[in-house]
Parts: sequence; C-alpha cells; structure tokens
Amino acid sequence: MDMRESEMSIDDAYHLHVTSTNKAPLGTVVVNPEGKIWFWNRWMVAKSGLSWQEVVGKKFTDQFSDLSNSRLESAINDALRHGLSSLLAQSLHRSPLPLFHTLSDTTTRIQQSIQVIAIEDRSHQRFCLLMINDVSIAVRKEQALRKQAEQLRSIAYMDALTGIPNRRRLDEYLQDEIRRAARSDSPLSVIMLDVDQFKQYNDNYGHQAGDFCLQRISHALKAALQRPADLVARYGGEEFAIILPDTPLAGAKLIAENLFKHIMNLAIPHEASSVSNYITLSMGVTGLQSKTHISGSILLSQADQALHQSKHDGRNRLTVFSETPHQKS
Amino acid sequence: MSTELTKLTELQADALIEIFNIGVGHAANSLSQIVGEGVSLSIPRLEILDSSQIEELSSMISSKRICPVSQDFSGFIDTRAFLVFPEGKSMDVVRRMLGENIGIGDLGEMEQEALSEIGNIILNSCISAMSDSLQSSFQSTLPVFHRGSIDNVLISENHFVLIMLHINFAIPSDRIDGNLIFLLSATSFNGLAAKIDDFIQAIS
Repeated sequence: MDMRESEMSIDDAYHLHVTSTNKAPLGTVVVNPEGKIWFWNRWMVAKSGLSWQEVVGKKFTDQFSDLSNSRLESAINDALRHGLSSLLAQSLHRSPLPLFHTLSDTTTRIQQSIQVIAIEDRSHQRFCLLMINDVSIAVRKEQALRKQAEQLRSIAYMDALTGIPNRRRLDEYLQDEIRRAARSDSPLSVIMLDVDQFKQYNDNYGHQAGDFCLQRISHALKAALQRPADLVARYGGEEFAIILPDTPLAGAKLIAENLFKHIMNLAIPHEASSVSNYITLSMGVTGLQSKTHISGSILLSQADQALHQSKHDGRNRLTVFSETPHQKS
Repeated sequence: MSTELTKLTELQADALIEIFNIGVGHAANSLSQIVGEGVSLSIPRLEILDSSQIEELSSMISSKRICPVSQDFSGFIDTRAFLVFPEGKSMDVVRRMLGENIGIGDLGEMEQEALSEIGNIILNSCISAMSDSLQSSFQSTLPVFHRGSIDNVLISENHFVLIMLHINFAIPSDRIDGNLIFLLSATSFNGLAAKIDDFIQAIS
C-alpha cells in the first residue's frame, strides 16, 4: 500500500475512492455475486435518470428487462461465473443501456462502448465492474470521415465532364465482371463506341457545344441501358465503353441497335458530317466466350478493333469482332 | 526443454479439440445473435509447437503481417491467447460482422474495437468451456488489438509452448480460416495435460 494511503484512515480512503468514481466522466456500475446492482455512480444517475436508491439491490436484468439474453447479460455472467472480462464494441451494439445526453430528450441513446471487468473482493467473491464510455463524438467523427472517403471515392471514379463512370472505374468493373463471369460461366459483352466525325463537330460548333454534345450522348446512353449491372463509361475523348454482364453477343447486338435509336432520337444537328445531318455513332462489340480466360485490356482492344472496322466501312454502324479482320458481321 | 514436454497424446489432443469446439459453439451463438444471421465456428485440428519450431508458424498463418486480438488468462495455467486471421482477412471478418461497406480499406478505430470484441467472445468462450470441463477457474484481462509482424506481436518470451488451433469462421456465403493461438510456459502446458487426463478419466 502507498505511504500516503496508509496514513489515511480507511474511512477517508473509502470516501476518496467513491468521490473519484463519482466525478469520473464515465459510467461505473458494480454488480454483486448475485447479479444485483451494488454500485451506480453519479454519471449513471445523470444519464439514466435512475437514482442510486432506485437501482441498488435490484437484479441487473430486472432493472433492464430488454437486456435479458443479451450479450451484456452473458458478459456479466461470464465475469461473475468464470472471472472473465469482456468488451462490448459500439459498432456491434450501438446503445445497450437506456442512457441519454439530456433526460429531456430520450429519443436518442448515448452511443456506448462497455467494458465488463471481473473483480474479486478480499474474500474472493466475484463482482463485476461495468465501465460505460460515451463514444458518441468518436462515432460522429468516424461517420463524417467515412462519408468523406466515400465522396472522394465516387469523385475518383467519375468523369468530370459527363458525370458517368470514368476509365478507372471501367477497368476495375471489367476486371470484377470478367472474374464473376468465369466463376459462374456466364457470358459478358463489351461495346466500344465513338462519335462520328466529332473533330468536325467541334470545329464547326465550338468546344462548348462539343462538351454539351458529349453530355447529351452520355445521358442518352445511360438512359438506354436499363439493367443495373450494365455500365457505360467515358473511355476518353469522344469514345465510350459499355460493359454488359450476363449478355451474349446476340443480346449485345440488340442493345447496340437500341443505342443507335436513342442517339438518332436526340437528333443533334451535325452539318459538317459526311455521314448524316445529325450526330451518329460507330460501334464495335465483342464477347467473352465461355471458359476462355481473356484479360480486360484484350477484350477492350477487340471491341476497339471492331469499332475501327465500323469506321473503315463508312461509320454509323456496328461491327462484331472476329479473329479474321476485314470480315463483316 | 525436453521434447516429451511439448506433446499431447492423441487422446489428449482429441479431448482438447472437443472442449474447444464446445467453446466456439457458444461463441458462434453469441456472434449469430449480434449479426442476426447464422455464424458457425469449428475447430478441425490443433498443433503443438515449441520455441524451436517458430519458423513454421509464419507458413501456417500464411501471412507475415497480422492484426491479432489477445487476452491474458490466469488460473491453473497462465496463457496469452490470440485470435489471428491472415492479413486482409481481419477486415473481411469485421466487414461481414458490421454488415457495412467500409470504404476506407483499413481497420479504423471502430473496426479495431469490433474485431477486439469478436476475439473476446471467441477466446472467452473457449476458456469458459475449458474452465467448465476441467473444473478450474480463470481470470482474464480485456482484449487488446495488435498490429505487426508475427515475430513482434506473438512472440514475447524465449521459452514457450504454443497450442495452435485452426478455426473455420463461416458466415453465410463466406468462409474465413483463422487461428487461435495459446502461448504458455512448459509448466503451464504440463499442468494442462494433467488436467486433461483427469477429464478423460472422469468421462471414461
């Protein structure tokens, strides 16, 4: 025992201990060997509205009946029966005890992290010490950080001009979907498309009009793809890529036809085009054959080759990739 | 340290696996209750290693950097116990338990606390089962989260025996393999072996 403590009378020492526990900015509860509340500090009184007299001597689970068969009850039992200490994480339990920041507002409980510690008295009787920490502020900070991280993440994956996914997102998504397709042996198609004679459009109407044109095309492509797993991304410049999971080539061709219609309906004038009076697209499509292992970049380059074939053949059309070039679909 | 000290007979090992399986069974119930879906835990086998075989530990855990949760238990044996998952898997476990999309990609404070509790539930359940079966009582510290290399985190003393249990952690549609490790002195190890013998005699 410390010198100063030995100079103090037991009564004074006891008083000092109780005062310190009562002044502590956390909840302290002691449960006796019969599972009854033996001590309840002032913080608990302030945050629960339950006075010392109301709770002391009551069984913990009678006082808090919604905690019967809970993790907190079994942690208390572990301490009393086995001498084992436990931790109740806020992230797994939120707010086990009815504790509130102010008693005038009992709609939101304090977020709690609870430590349950087995202690013994001098005659080796087991008691249980509960320490209840208010982690509300830490939780709010963590949530704010997580929200920020998610925002940053979505910005990092978004094309600034058009608001649709960018190439980084496309590459990751394609990789995931190739893996998934291989696992479930399902088809996967990829379309690459390009705005016909976009340079002439820019030269004729100006860059701002060019930007606006790309935005309208992006929105139209996005609107035309109705399944949640379909992804359209801006690949770069006036080039877009579309990933179609669970879609065989025949299905991808139908989707491409539908895309042509949507862009035609936009009817964006393009006087400088040699193809039409309106904006048109050239497309190339390829598919993942079942049981073949192809990387995302090979798949994209196949679709790109088919796209170039479309350009070569006069634009405003779709070409299906084939191993032997210059062969039309 | 002589080699006989660090062995369990097949019967002793089976009894210990049995006791631990009772423990992780209880832990699985607690975890299922928390996450609201069926979690199942099982311990298929155990290995006993001594300080000379420490090199083998890294290959068994299949990861150099780990984020284990530990607790110290004292009673008729003193042991430091760990729940260990290979690097990256700790995060998977927490993610599944919290049912949230954790975007930051690392174990933040909230996730560390959740992992500590998961370890706490599993380790306490194992020790409770041991305490019930072997009729001896223990005391424990609160769980502590660590992060580091196997050498730094697990090995604190020069002489020890290590009981290594393989634990399968099954959450619907996912299975994660980890390890429970109990680090104890040769004296404690012998004490444990003797208690297991008493247990075997009592039930046979």
